[in-house]
Amino acid sequence: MTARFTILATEADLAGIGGFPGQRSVDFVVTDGSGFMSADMPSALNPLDVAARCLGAVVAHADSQGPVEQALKVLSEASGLDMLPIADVTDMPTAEAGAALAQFIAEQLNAITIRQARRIVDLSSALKSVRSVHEETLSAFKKIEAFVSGNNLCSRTQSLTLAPTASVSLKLRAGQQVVQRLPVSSEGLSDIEIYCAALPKRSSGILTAVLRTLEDDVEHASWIVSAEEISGPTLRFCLPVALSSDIRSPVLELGWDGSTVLPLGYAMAHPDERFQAQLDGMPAVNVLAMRLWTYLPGSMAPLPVDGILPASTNETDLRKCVLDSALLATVVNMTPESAASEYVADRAAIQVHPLPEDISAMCIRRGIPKGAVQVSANIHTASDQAQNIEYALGLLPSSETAKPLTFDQTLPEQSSDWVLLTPDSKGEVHLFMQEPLADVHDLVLMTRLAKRPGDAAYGWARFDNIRIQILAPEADHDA
Amino acid sequence: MHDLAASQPKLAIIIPIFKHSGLLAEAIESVLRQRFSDGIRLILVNDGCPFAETHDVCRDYALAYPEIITYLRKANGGLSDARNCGIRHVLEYIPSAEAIYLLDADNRLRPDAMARAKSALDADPAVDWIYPNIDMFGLNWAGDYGGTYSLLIHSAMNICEAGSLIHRRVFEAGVFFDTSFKMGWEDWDFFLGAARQEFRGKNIENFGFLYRKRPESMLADSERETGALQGAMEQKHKPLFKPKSLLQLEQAEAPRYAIHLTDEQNVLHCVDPVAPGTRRLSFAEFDKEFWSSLIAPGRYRTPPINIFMTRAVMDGLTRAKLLHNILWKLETISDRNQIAALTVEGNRTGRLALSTQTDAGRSGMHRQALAVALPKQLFANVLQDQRSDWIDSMAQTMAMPPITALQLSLPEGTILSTALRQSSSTIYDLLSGVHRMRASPWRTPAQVRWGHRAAGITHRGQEHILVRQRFQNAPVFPRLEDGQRHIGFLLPLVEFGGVEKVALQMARGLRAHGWVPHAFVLETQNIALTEDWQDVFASTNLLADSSFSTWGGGAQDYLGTNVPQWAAGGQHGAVLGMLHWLDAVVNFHGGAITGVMGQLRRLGVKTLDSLHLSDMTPMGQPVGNTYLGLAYEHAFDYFVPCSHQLGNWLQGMGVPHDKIVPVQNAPGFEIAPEITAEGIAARKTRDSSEPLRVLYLGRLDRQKGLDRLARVIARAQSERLNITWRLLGKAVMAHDAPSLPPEIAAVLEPPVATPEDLAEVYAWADVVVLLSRYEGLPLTVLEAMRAGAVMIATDVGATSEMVQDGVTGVLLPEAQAVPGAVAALRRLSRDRAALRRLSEAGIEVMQSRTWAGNVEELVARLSGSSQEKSL
Repeated sequence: MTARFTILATEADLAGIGGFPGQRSVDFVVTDGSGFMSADMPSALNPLDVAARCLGAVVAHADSQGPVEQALKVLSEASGLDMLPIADVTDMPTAEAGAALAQFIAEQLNAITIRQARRIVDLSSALKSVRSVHEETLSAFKKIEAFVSGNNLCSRTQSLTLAPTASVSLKLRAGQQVVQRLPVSSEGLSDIEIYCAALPKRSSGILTAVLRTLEDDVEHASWIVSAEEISGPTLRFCLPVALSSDIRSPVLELGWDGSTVLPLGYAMAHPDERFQAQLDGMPAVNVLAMRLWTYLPGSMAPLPVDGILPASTNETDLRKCVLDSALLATVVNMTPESAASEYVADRAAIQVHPLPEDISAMCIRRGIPKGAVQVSANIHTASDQAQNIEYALGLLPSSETAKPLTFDQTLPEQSSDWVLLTPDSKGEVHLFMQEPLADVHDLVLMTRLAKRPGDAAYGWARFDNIRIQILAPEADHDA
Repeated sequence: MHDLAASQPKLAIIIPIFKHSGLLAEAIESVLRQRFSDGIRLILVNDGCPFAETHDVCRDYALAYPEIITYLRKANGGLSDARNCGIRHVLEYIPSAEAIYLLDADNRLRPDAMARAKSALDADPAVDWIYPNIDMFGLNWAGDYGGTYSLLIHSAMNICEAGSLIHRRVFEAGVFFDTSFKMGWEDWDFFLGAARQEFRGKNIENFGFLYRKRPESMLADSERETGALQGAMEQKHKPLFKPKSLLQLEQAEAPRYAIHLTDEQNVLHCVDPVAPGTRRLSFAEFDKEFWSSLIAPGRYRTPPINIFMTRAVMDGLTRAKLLHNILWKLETISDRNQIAALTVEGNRTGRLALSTQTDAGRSGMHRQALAVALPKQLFANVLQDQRSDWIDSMAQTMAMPPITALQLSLPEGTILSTALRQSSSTIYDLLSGVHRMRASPWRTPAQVRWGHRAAGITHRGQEHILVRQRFQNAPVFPRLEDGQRHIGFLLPLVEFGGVEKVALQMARGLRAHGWVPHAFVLETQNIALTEDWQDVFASTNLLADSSFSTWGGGAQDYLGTNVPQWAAGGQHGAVLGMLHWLDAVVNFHGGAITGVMGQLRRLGVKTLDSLHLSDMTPMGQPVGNTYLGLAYEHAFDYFVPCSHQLGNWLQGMGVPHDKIVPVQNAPGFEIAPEITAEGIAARKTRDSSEPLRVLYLGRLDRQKGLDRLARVIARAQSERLNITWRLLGKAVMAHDAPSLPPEIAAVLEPPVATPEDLAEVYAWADVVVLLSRYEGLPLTVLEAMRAGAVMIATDVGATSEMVQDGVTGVLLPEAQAVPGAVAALRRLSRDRAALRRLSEAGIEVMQSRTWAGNVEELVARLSGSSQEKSL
C-alpha cells in the first residue's frame, strides 16, 4: 500500500498526464468534483484521507477546471484547511506541461521539506536538553545512593510474609510447574523467598524460577538452583536491582526437574483463583508461602548474604553483600555478664558493651557464608564519656547444635587486629581471610577497654553495616 | 517490531488529536510496538488542530508507515466528532476490521494490549466491548475495574474507559459518540447508549492500558461540571434511570438480600423473592463469595442485607401476604446498624399489628425471633472479630449486640399464625452460621491486602443505595414489575368503617377486571383483619412510620382545610420507595398522603383520589379530604367520588370534567344471592300484626344523628307504636360520642362485622333508620335496600341518589328528621302494603348495582391511560 503525496485530477486529464515526465513521484487521485478514487486501484477514498496528503490539483483541459475547483472546495470544507493550489497546464505542450507539473510538485514538497528540517532541528535540540537533564539526574542519583549506603539506610525491607501452614504443602514432581501471582505491586520488588524443605542427601535436580509481570509479560529475572543448594527451610531469590517504578503485577514461575519430589510450603487457602498457586495450569486453592522484600525502585541494594542471584547476573570475581537487619537481630550474647550488649534495632547496629577487665563478645550464628574472603564493619563509640575502646572481628566454625555459646576469653583463630577508638568517634574494622572460607562460619564481634581494668561505663560500642566480600564460585583465583 | 501491516486488518485503532502534538508520538509508538498478528490499521484523526506540529507528526508517520497508518484531516468538531469520524472511516473503508480501539493521544498501550483484548472479545460472543483497569501514570494510581459488568453500577459511575476495544457491531447498530457532550463524559454516555441497546462489556485485568493523569485535564474539567453533566445524562437516558428499571437491574445484577434458609442449607440472593432471577447458593458457595467480597470489595459482592430464617417462615409470610412488607421493614431497621429480629404472635382479636421495640436484646425477646437481619458491615465485623463473645451473647437473655425487634401480631387460628407458630431456633441457626463462616478457610486471606490496585468500582456491594438515591436514600420496597397491573389502596387505618368497606369492595371489583390490589395502611400499626380482606388484597402493608401523620401541623390552610405538615414538607422518601412500583394508587381519605401524589405521577404511577364526603367542623363548615384533593388537583390523574353528587361538586369546584370518574357505592359486603333471597322471602311471610322491625346499625355519634334517633325512639314509645327496635353499633370516634341516651342504651347490641351476621340483621329488619347530619353515599342505605329493608333517611350527602321519597324509601329533609321519621314509622307500621311496595322497589333498584359493574368506567380509563403510557 502506498501513502505518498497526491495530486488531484479529472479522469480525462489523467490520460494526458500519464505522458508527463516525473509523474511517478506522486500518486494521482481522480475526481469528478464530489467523489475521490485512487488512480491505481478502483477504490473510493475518504476525502479526509485525501486532504491529509494532497499537494494540490492539476488541470490540463478547460473542462476540468470546474470539477477540480469543486473537489478542492469539498476537501477544504471537510478538513478545515485553505483551498489547495492548482497547477494549470491547460493547452501546454506535453513536455512543457510535464515540467510545469514537476515544478509545481517540487515547490509544494520544498515547503514541506523545509518545515520538516526545522522540526528535526528543534527535536534534536530538545533531545539534547533531555539528555543533559537525564545525565544530571543519573549523577545526582548516584550521590544519593552513596549517601544512603554510607549512612546505613540501605537495606531491603520485608514487605509481606505469608507464613507456611503445617497442614498442607505442595510436592512438586519432576516436570511440573507452579505459577504464583504475588500479592504486591512490582514497584521496588527486590527479593522473593519461598519455603522449601531440605532435599534428601544425594538428590539431584534443577529448580528454575522466573519472575514476570502480567501486564507486559516481561521476564525480569530467572534463577537456577541445583538440588545441592537446596538445604531448607527457605530459598531467597534476589534481584540485584529492585524492579522499577512502573507498577505491574508480578508472577513467580517455578519449574522442577529432579530425582525426587520438591516440597514447597503452602500458606492459606484463597477464594480467588487469581491468587491461588497454579500447578500445571490448574488452581490449587492455596497460596505458596512466601516472604517478599522491597527496596527503592530501580536501585541497587546491598545483597543479602543468603540470597540467590539471577542466572544472568554478570558476577565479578567478588560479590559484595551486607548482613541485613533480620540477621543482625539474631545476634547472641556470648558474655552475658555484659548486660548492656544488645541489638539496637533503630540503628540496625549491634552494641557490644565492654567489660571492666575482659573481652565482651556477641555472635551472629552462620553469619559468614562459604567463600567469604573479607568481613568489614563500621564501628562507633557512641558516647563521649566512654573510655578508649578496642574493636575486633573473629570467626568461629558454625556448630550444628543449639548449645549456648560462651566466650572463653581466647581470641578465635581467625581474628582481625584490634582497632582503637576514642570516645564519640567512628572507624572501620576489617578481617581478611587468607583463603576463601570452605564452610559457613559464625561471626564474633568483640570489644575491650584499651586500659584494663577500667571503668566500662558509657561503653556504647557499636558495630553496623557489616559487609562481606565473597569469591564467586568457579572464578579464576589465580592472582 | 511486529509487522502489523495486513491488507485486511482485523483491528483498527483510532487516535483523535487536538493539541496533544507533543505526546502524540508516544501513543503512536505504543501502537506500532503492538504484538498482534492479524493486522492493525491506525487511524490518526487530526481534529482541526491549530498546531502545525500535529499535522507534521501525523503526516510523517503516515508516510513512514503507509501500510499501517491512515491520516485523516478534518475541521474541528470536538472529541466525539473526531472519534465518530474515525469510526465511520473504518466502517466504510475497512470492512475487515472486526473491532475498533479508541486511544487518546496522550495515553499509551503495553505491547500485548491489543492481542489480549481481541482474544478476550473473540472468546465470548456475548461480549461487545472489552474495557481495562485504569493504570495511571503521571499522577500514579491504579484502579481495579474488574468483576462482572453491571449496568446498574454503570448508571452511577463510568466504569468503562474510552480506551476500550469495541466490536464493530456496536457501531453498525448506530451507537456513536454524542457530539453535544463537549465538557466530558462522552465516553460514559456512549457506553450507556450501547448498554441500552443490550450490548455488554467485560473487563480483563491485564489489558495493558496506561492512562496519563495530570491535575489539569479534560477529565478534571468535567469533574467540575458534575452536576450539569449528571443531569444531562439522566435526561438523555431517562428510561434507564427510572426506579422500576433500576430495580430490575438490581434483581438481575446485584440483589440486596441474602436470605439464609437455615432448614434448606442454602442462601437465596434476591430483591423480590417471588420474581424470576432469584439465585440459590449452597452455604459453601456463599461463604466463598462472602469472603471474596471482603478481600476484593470492588470486584466481588454479596448482598448487603443478610436475613436468617427457615423456608417454613418464608412460606408462612408469603401465604400471609406480608413477605415484602416484612423484608422492607427488616431492611429499614438494619439500616441503622441494628440487628433486626422478627417475632410473631397470635391474637384473638382478629387484628394485624406491626411494631418495633428497640433494645430487644435486653429482655430476651430476640430469642423468639423467627427471622434475623444483619447489615453486611456488622456481619463482616462479627466474622472478623478475634473473639466471638459479643455475637455469642445473642444466645443469652441479655444480648450485647443492639437488637430491635419487629413484632408482628396476627389473628390466631388462621393459616397465618399457624404456619408461623413454631419454636424458634433462628438465633441458634444464626450463631451456627457465624461460627461456620468464622471457621472458613477463606477467613485468613481476608487479613492480607491482595494486589496493588485500589477498588475502582466503589459502588460494588452497595448497589441498593443507587436505587435508594431516587427516594431520598430511603429503603425501596422490594417488588418488581411482573407484567400484571398492580394498584395500591392507601388508607390511614382499617377499622371497617365505610371508607374501608368501600376500599375492600372497589378492590374486589377491580380484581374482577384483572387488576391486582394491594392495601397500604399509613398511620396506624394495628388494623382489623378479616378473611375477606385477606382474600381480596394480594398484600397488606403497614407503613409503620411514626413520622407520618394524616393530619395536623400544617402552616397553611387551603379553603379552610389545613394542609398537613407531612404533605407539604415531610420525609417522603420512605413512602415513595414503598409505592413507586405500583401502576396506580388510590387515595382513600389518606390526608397528608396527597403530598406524594405529584411525585408518584412523575414516576409513572397513575394517581386516583377516592372521595366520599366532606367532614364538618364543630361550627358546621365543610373541610377534609375533599378540599385537600382540590389543593392537590394537579397531582391526581383522576378523582373517584362515591356519588354523582360529589362528582358534580368537584366539577363545580374546578376539577376538569374528564378527570372525574364517579364509582358509585354499592353494598359494603358481598353475600350469596340465595341468602339475600331467603331473607326477602322470610320477610314476606311475616304477619302484619307483628311489630314493625326497625333497625339502626352504625357508629353512635353526632354525625350519624344519634341524638335524633334517641328522640325518635322516645316518641315512638310514648305513642306506643307497634315497633320493635334493634340498635347495633359503638362509638368509634370516642371524643365525639355523647353519653348514650337511655333509650338507646336499653336496646343497644354490639356491632357485627361478618357478611353473614350483617345479612341476618338486615333480613330481620323491615325498616332501617339513618338520620345523619352529613354523609357520602351511605353503604347502609345500599345494603338495606338490597336486603329489602326500607330506608328512612335524612336527605344529606348523596342519599337521594338511591332513596327516592315514596318510591324506594322515605327521604326526610334535615329540619324534619325527627317528626318525619316518627310519622314514617307510624305510617309503615300500619300500612304493610306500602312497606312492601317500597321494599320491592328498593330491591329492584339494587339488582344491577354491583362493584364490578360500577368500576367498569374507571377500569376503562385506567386501561386507556396505560396504553397511552406504553405508546
